[in-house]
Amino acid sequence: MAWEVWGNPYLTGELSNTTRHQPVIFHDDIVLRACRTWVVIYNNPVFTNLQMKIYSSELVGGSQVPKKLLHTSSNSPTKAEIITLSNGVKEIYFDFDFPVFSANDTYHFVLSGTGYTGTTDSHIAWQKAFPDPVNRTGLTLSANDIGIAPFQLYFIGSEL
Amino acid sequence: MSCTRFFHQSFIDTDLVSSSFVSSQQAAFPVSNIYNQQRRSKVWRSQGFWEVLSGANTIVFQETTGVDLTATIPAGEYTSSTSFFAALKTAFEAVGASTYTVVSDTSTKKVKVTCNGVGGGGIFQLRWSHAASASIAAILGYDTSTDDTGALAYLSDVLKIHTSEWLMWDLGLSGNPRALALIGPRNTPLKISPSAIIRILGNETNNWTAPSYEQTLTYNDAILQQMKEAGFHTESLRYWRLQIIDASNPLGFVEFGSVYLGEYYSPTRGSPQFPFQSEYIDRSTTVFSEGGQTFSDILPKSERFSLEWFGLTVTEKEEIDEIFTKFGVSIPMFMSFDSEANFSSSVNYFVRYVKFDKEPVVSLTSPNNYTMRMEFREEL
Repeated sequence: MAWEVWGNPYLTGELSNTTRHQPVIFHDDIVLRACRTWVVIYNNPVFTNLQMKIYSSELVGGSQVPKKLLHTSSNSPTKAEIITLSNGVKEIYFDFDFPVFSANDTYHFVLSGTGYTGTTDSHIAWQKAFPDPVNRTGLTLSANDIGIAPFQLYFIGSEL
Repeated sequence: MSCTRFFHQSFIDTDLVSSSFVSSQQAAFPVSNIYNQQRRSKVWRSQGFWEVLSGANTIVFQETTGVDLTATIPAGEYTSSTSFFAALKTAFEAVGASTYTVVSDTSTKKVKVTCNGVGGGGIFQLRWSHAASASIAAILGYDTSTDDTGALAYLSDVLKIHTSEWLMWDLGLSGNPRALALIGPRNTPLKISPSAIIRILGNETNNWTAPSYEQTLTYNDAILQQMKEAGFHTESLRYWRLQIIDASNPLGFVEFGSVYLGEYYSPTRGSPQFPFQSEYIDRSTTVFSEGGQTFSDILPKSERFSLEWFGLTVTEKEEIDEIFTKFGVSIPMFMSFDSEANFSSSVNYFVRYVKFDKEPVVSLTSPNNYTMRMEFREEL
């Protein structure tokens, strides 16, 4: 059986805005060292590098949306470091300079990139954590729920 | 819910806050005084914080009739009037041939620019009506409708002692305070002008161009305060800043004795019962001469409050236990006795800086129903 993954594709411009964001609520006060995630490279999209950005949250129209940029990952893997061939699913990690986050506040993780050109035929997609998200508190997934599944994101840090 | 509130958890306690910053401070009145809980009469005084922005940092002046010179003050933040005035002097002398002096006039506190008239054609004109001088004219308090001519020294038209002052706190973790209080020494008004603009700002980052939260405090001559049951902002914010714009303060500085930003506790079921007793304290001593005349040694006045709590639940009683354990009879704290202004002219009136005057007395009236008697003495 083939290994199937799902992701949300990025078209040109979408890697430099906050359209796709993963809201996160930490259950404890934590200090963050790094996060791991997976990207799907479909065909051979052009991009320079990727970064992870963390935004504060604001309640707009009943939804929590990114508001202000708080932190940017200290590393920014280049395309050559991520993949040199066409097509692939790659695990990448992003380092942070030990920012601290309060329990029960919402933060948004946003995948960001520079020099990116994405089309429906050649793009980067941020992999969904479907069907088995690492943290499924309050989340019940069925086969129809890919759309609401979170992005695949693991955190490396410590409780304060 | 009781309208009596204990300000028991300060986010900006020096043991808790990640970092705190101040715009300026006088050496004899450092900002550490404002965090020293024991003495509200030991105060912080500002020394003049001047912020000069790039592109708004020039003064056009003349030493020779018809020849404009442009002094450029380096853009940046100056943390004392002395350093700002030194930068002005250097800027004048960098393009002019005369020697310049910039000081705060001792009697009026206004800015005074003096030229010795040695360089150029021997004159000194400040061209405030020139567009390039407008921003600095506003900062220094000079009228831009006319140029200053015909003399070698010019006093500003309006008093300006700073561009703003501020206290800034990085809480480390984001927090959403519910109470703010600012006081000076008791028995004297706060040393800020009624026209002062005092704001509490909150933001996710240490950038104050467009803060997420901004609230202007209502002026009061005894205490400035703000309380909000649901928290100041809709979200928790990491950076908080108290901004004071009081450029025309005739004292030449702004002053505060103690500041609080944090949580408050107010029991839900239990509440103090009427009558709310208070007692004035005047420690002045008056002696009578043989002829019957009186001579008084005038000392500061204070006030004592008695509260009789009824109906406290176990949780509420134990919360008050913790508050007493934390403060005891030795550490002062802010309290609001009438947070809804039900029996006072304003909420500010009964926000007081108090100590427990004696240990509270507790009695268990019935299960989950405590009575507590406590007395507070307002601190000087």
